[in-house]
Amino acid sequence: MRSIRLFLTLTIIAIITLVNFLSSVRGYRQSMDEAETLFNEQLLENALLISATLPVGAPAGEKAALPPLSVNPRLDNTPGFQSLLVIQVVDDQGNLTFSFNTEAQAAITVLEPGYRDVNFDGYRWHTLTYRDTANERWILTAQRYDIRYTLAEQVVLQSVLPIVLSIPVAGFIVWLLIGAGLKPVIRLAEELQNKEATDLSPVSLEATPKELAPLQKSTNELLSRLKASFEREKRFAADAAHELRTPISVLKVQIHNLLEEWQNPPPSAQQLKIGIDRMGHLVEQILDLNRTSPDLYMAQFEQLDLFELCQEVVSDSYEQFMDKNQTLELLGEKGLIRGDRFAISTMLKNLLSNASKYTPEDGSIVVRVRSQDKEVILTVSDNGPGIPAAERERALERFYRSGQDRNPPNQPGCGLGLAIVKHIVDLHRASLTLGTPESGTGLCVKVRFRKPGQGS
Amino acid sequence: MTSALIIILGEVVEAMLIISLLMAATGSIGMNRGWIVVAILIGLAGAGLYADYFDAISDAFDGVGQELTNATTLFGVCLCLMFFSFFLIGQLRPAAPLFPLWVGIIALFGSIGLAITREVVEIYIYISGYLLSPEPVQPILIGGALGTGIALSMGALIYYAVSNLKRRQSLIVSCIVLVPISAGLVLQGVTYLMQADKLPAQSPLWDTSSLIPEDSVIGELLFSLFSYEATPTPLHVAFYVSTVGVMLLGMLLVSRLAASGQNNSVKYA
Repeated sequence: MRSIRLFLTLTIIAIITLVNFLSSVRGYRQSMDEAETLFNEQLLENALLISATLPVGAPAGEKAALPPLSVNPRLDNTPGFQSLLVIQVVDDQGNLTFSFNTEAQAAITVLEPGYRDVNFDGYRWHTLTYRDTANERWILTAQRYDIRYTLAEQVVLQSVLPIVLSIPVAGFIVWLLIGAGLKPVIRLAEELQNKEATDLSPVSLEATPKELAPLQKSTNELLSRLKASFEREKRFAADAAHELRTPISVLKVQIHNLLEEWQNPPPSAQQLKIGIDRMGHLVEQILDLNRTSPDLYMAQFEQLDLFELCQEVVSDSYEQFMDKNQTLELLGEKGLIRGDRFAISTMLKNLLSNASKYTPEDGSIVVRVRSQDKEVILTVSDNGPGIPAAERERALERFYRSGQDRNPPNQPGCGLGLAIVKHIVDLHRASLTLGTPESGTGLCVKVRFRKPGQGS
Repeated sequence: MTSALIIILGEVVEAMLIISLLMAATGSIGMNRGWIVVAILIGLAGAGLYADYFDAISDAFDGVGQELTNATTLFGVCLCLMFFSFFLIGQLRPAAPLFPLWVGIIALFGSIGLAITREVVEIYIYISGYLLSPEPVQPILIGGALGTGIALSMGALIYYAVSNLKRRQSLIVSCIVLVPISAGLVLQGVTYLMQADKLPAQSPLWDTSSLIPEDSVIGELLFSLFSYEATPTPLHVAFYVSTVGVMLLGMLLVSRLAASGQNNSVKYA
């Protein structure tokens, strides 16, 4: 079933049509039978009238003496009515003593009481043979079969026609009513569809119909369980971070002390220190990656000045650029966006860390914030080796390393930086492109944020 | 009105039965329903051509061209429905359909196209004959509307009844209902061949016209379902039973083949 509304409308209309039309057909047949009886009674009434009013022995062709014959004034004005009725009076010897509305010179039907169908004057007629016992004569009345049938059908069809015409109207009304009835379902679907991925608040509908109440209740319970599950996930991430960070920090202190105590520390001790640093970095990155996953991250969006945030992050991470004697420039202007402060800071830290890591000593890094039309554009460019165009797509995957040999020695790296950046970009429904700076060498990372109020 | 109702009801119900069953079945196997629209258009085009050459067709074969064309059309619809039911049974295992898609499409075009052509031409002949007579038009319009309404309603209800079944049940029910419909078409074809003196006229085996007259609404509905014949001859019965037998045996064989996995692993969307 593709559409509940279409299914209900079509099946309801089909049932209404079937019931009404079949009833109409039955009604039509019964009405036609009833009309047949009425016309027969009319034949009898006319015969009785002739019997009572026409004197015995009236000459054939007498018309002036005929009383009004119709019992239904409406039929008098109906075309063809004049040829509807034929009357003959025949004596016991079979001689025609009176004739009306026919040229027939003999009795039009047999002289035996009863109704019959006969042919004369080029038509089919329904006749009544009536025995006038008081005057000892036969009175024959006849009606043209086709006119009888047409007149009866015209009358009966007047009751069938409105039923036929009412079906499209009924269909339209049923369509509208079902649409109105399904509105709460559509509203519930829309509310669920329009929910942000991180919005796990209960669904609320005004005046929920009782049929939808169980669905709404189940959905809200599911959302509630999901929210609790996310909370546990977050707590786990925080606990795991704490549990992992503490021993790694202890290890770092221990290896530092060990290196201090040794006059000539063995190379393996230096390797151990690098390994511990790398492990610490890896743990931080994995935690960041999980924390910033758009499906899990419970973002708290607020209006931020991206340029101001860049200033804060740059000042915090300036030390790592100093160590490599790199120049870091922050250019641009105020750029207001709606974003999560922690997530954007993490993204900037990763971009700057990557830039510093892959840019050689004495290299330069430029961070620029630009406000343009409906967008705020953040650009981080370096003059390092860059990423070949063919590999840029894959560079956003987890644990992707653009050639191990390119990773500078003694620099912790695990291939998660750009994956974290991608998560945060997706979380903000922004766009991310990797390219080459205008200078022609290095990597240029461009993130385009929509300005607040510019739609999703 | 009654004659218009009965004739139009009979013709439209027959077409709607085939269309609604095939539509439900094609939906169950995920076949594009656009093919049905194409088949209906082909049928309407065929009806236009038939009506255009109606006099020439009627005069052909010593004046029995219309009967022979009708018989051929009916046998054609039956053959296509038979192949389509085999195609559907071959779809019982969705992962490995027994027949390629084009078999189903051709059978669909043939059955719906030929059925529409025949029914539309029958209605056209009736209406054009009626319009030549001095009878009032209103009764035929109302009768036609009643007949069409009843037939379309039945079609819609049958479609939803079959398409709301589970896939396997939907396919089996469609195929089973197609059996009496196909056999009924053969029965009508045999009657046309008897009228054209291509098959010998025989005395009826029984007469149920007093119980259910052929020209009653119920008689017409039964006629549309399985070509109810109040006075069938031995030839009618023989053809009917043979068609039912061939279709059931064929479906049984195809279902065995499908179950045993003897297929070409044809896959299509």
